[in-house]
Amino acid sequence: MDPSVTGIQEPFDLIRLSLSERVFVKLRGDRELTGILHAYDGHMNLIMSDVEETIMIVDPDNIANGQNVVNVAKRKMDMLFVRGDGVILVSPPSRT
Amino acid sequence: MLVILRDGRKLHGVLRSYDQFANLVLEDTVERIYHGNAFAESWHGLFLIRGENVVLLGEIDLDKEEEVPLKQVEYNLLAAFHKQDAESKKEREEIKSQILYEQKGFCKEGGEGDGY
Amino acid sequence: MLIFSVFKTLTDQQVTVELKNDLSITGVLKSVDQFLNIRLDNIKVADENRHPHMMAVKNCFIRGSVVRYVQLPPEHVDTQLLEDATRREQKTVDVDLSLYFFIARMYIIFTSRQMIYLHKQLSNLYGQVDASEVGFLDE
Repeated sequence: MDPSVTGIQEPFDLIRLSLSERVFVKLRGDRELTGILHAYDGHMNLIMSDVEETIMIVDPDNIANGQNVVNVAKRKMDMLFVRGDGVILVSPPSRT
Repeated sequence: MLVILRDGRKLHGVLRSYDQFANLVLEDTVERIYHGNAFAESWHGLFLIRGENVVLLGEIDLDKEEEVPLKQVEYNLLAAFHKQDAESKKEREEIKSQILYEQKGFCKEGGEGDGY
Repeated sequence: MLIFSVFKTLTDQQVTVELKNDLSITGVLKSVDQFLNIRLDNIKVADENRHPHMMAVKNCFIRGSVVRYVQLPPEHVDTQLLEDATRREQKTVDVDLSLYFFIARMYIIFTSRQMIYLHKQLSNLYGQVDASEVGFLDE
């Protein structure tokens, strides 16, 4: 696609166009977030609201019996600052 | 002052100096280890701590310290338990990252990750 | 800078800081600096039994680099203002950069004109001056 049409020239433009939209964020430490993006900066520090966090939890005690050992824990937070050094990727809302 | 380091150590000492990077000079330092409802101390002395290793600096409230329901024991008694705790934690972390790596495509962070 | 300003507006509010070692500390935000180091007063640690060493601590300093999240009081965050400020900050960077390049270009054009002028003046005074001798305008 022609960059002048989409208005995307550099990676951060993609995030800029996601402001005030629901985004998916993958973090270090086996965590993922979805929430509405309100602010970011050059370090990829983010401020998001209405956040749902998904944490992957492994229960080593169940490894022996070979069942599904990866559980997910979810929790919600109203307003959240996310430090940029933990961010792996930010994905804009799917345009369907 | 209580200082928590990135490797999980807890140091108690008198804060003598600090700077913009949180480099610290700590005097009369003791390291505290915990296990269950007991703790133990080992004496170290004068420390200069590089800022990047500092997680948190806590001001010890003397009134609150008296309420803490922990009993102090000999360092030698607790050291073995503490070492065991640390090792089992490390082992669990390794198993966990291995499973997530295999099943979900998460990357392994290795020993120098954020698991301090 | 923007995020730093946001935290400054939130001083004296109750926040919850979650560290990368899973320690969660709630307290009153007393101050914050450019590295996002945080000072919390009157702290309360979630799951205190797992972190017994924090029981005697009332006030603390947290190094910015070990923070994973900070939960903020939503009623004190103006989301519209944040979005506008974020767009503006990105733009100011662009404007700053283009202004910088503009000035740099003007400077180059200006100074080379001055040099050509100087060269001509020198030529008039002393006859033909070898440019390489003067040390500039090698081309």
